[in-house]
Amino acid sequence: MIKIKNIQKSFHEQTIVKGVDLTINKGDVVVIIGPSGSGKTTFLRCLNYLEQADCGQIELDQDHYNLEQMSKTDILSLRQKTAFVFQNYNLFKNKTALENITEGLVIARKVPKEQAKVIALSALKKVGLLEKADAYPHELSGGQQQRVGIARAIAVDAQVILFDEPTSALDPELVGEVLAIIQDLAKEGKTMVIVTHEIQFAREVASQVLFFDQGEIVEQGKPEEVLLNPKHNRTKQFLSRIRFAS
Amino acid sequence: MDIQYLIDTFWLSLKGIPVTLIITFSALILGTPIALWFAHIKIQQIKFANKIVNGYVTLIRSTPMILQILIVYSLLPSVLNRMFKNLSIPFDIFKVNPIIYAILVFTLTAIASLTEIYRSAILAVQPGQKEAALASGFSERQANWRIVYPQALRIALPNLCNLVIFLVKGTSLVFIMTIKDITAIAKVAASFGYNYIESYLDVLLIYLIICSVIQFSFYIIEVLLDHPLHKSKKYSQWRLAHD
Amino acid sequence: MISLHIDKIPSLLGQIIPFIPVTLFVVFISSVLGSLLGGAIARLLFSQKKLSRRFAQTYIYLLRCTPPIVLLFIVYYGLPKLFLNLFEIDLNVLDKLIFVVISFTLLFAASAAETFRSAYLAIDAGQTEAGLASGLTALQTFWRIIFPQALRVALPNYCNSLVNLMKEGTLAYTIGLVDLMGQANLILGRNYGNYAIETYLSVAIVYWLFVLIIELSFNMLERHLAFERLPKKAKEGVHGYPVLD
Repeated sequence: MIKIKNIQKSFHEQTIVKGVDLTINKGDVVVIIGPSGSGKTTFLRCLNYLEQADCGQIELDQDHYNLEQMSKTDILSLRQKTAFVFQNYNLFKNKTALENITEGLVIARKVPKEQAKVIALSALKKVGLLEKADAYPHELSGGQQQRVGIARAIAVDAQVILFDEPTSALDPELVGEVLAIIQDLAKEGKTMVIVTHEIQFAREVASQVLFFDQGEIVEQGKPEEVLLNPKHNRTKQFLSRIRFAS
Repeated sequence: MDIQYLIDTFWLSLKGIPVTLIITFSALILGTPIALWFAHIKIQQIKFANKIVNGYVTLIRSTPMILQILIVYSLLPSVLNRMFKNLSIPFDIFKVNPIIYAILVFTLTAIASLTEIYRSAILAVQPGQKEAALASGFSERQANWRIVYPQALRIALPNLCNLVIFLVKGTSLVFIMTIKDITAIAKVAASFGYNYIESYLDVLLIYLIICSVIQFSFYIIEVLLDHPLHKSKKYSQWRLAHD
Repeated sequence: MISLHIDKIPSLLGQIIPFIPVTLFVVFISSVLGSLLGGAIARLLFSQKKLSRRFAQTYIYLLRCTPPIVLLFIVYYGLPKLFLNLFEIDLNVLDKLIFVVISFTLLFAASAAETFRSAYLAIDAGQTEAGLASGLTALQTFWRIIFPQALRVALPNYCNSLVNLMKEGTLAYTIGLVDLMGQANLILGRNYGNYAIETYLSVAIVYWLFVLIIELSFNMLERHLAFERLPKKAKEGVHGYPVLD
């Protein structure tokens, strides 16, 4: 169980995230949708301290993190319990696909090399890229790179995997393969928080949908509720604007 | 540390600044036409000429500045002397102000560097700009001078600033040709009372001042060249407010 | 037209070649020490403390505007005087080589810092974020992910700085160091100023060779380090790896 309380983030006198609370149960797939600039990505990045929140608390099972006073060990510990998948993949350009995955295991979590290799290869197999283990990122397509990025996140067996618009930078025909993998992960019961524009996907995979606007959660609930029967005007406006058909 | 000497020599050494500036800017002005020509040869890859230009640039760039100065200074006067004697021209080459030789050496270096600077700046201008100009009926020449070169100039400014600073620093070596530049004056002054360190600190200060003035000037030029963009924004905002 | 005694050049070369090690020593030591110092200064450029940043920026600016010969004179005349006044140590007994190396180290550090700075900035911030998000410390992220990539970006500029250092090194003879140029000057004196052009040409030939070697070496290094070269393994596929199911 993950309890997130009162995350706030301002930047140059502009409040981007206005005090957000969220409770995530094990196996939940929380999908966050909303217009650009609503703060959803910033909120997500606060969860693994890629953005320094002004205040907030995160409870990950037994561990309690106060985002206002994070020591270096706190930050490292938080990041080792979470995993992040980036919008532009951010694979380590100077490492092979396999090395990209073992890096977090061997160096950050002190897993022995041989064991790390085995784990990494399984992760690659799961995303269907076993034969590309020794390829460098520049030899892979966007979709393949993102899949390696997901493998990198799976391998560390984190308590929650955070996805920042995982398909936004992909060519349309490559979006499907990535979404398929996320769907498999959902079926396996991985806890995930996904920021995305793919509303149809949200409907298929989410256990909870959050509509974010102007720094706060406007509407929250099961996908059928939020996406098909939105209660708030802003949610209705947003959904109608992107022409989501029920 | 002799403070009085420090101050006096400072004002004395300032007299060397005109020499420095004359050499630097003469080199740039004389070098630019030739460098533009060379840049075009490189851009269009004109077979044989391209090799010559590349050879020239490589030669100048691999030869230390002081060697260039020493070679020219020991070569040129005697060569020209022979030439004038053979042609029976009653001209005493040794009366010529050595600053001419300095300008020659620095022009050679300037040509090499400017060729590269102009070439990369012209290539950095979006090809679409020239295409649009030609499509509008401009001749090749008009397209270059009215559209491409002005934009290339803006792109080249930072590198030009670096080159000017490089040339200015290089002029610190011309005292070898008995030219009275900043360093030469300071050296002479120092030899009287052995106040070497004060002299060179003064020289350093003067060069820092020149360098700062140059950097600031280039900054102003960059702002001025970018200004028309800002001006139009403000104007349209004003119009919107008053409509 | 001119009496160029080309036949003298081989013998002149023979006379200056024994002094190549001095020149190479100066260049080598100055570049190594200068790179270390430059690395430290580049690090300061990205510090959180404004004072550190300003210091680094000022250092780079100062040395960028200082003519090498002026710096050489200031170090050669100024350092001993400073040490004499402050610590009462007489530095004049030190070999001129030390002053030369100090001057060129300071100069090289400035251009090295600039090179390192632009190489670091050329690396996508996402690489750092991915490293941190994977649980690596900032130091681990820098040395394992950023540095290898930045190194490849820095190579051409570093090569350029090295060539410049080599050329500026010719000024060392003005404070009396007997390197290639110093020896050439002595030869000139012995010949009563004759064969000046031939002497200088001999030195120039050696320098052309050095520059050529440096540029070729760096070209080879760049090609050797390029990632594009490495994919051979991928084409053969993955064999014999044990896999968890």
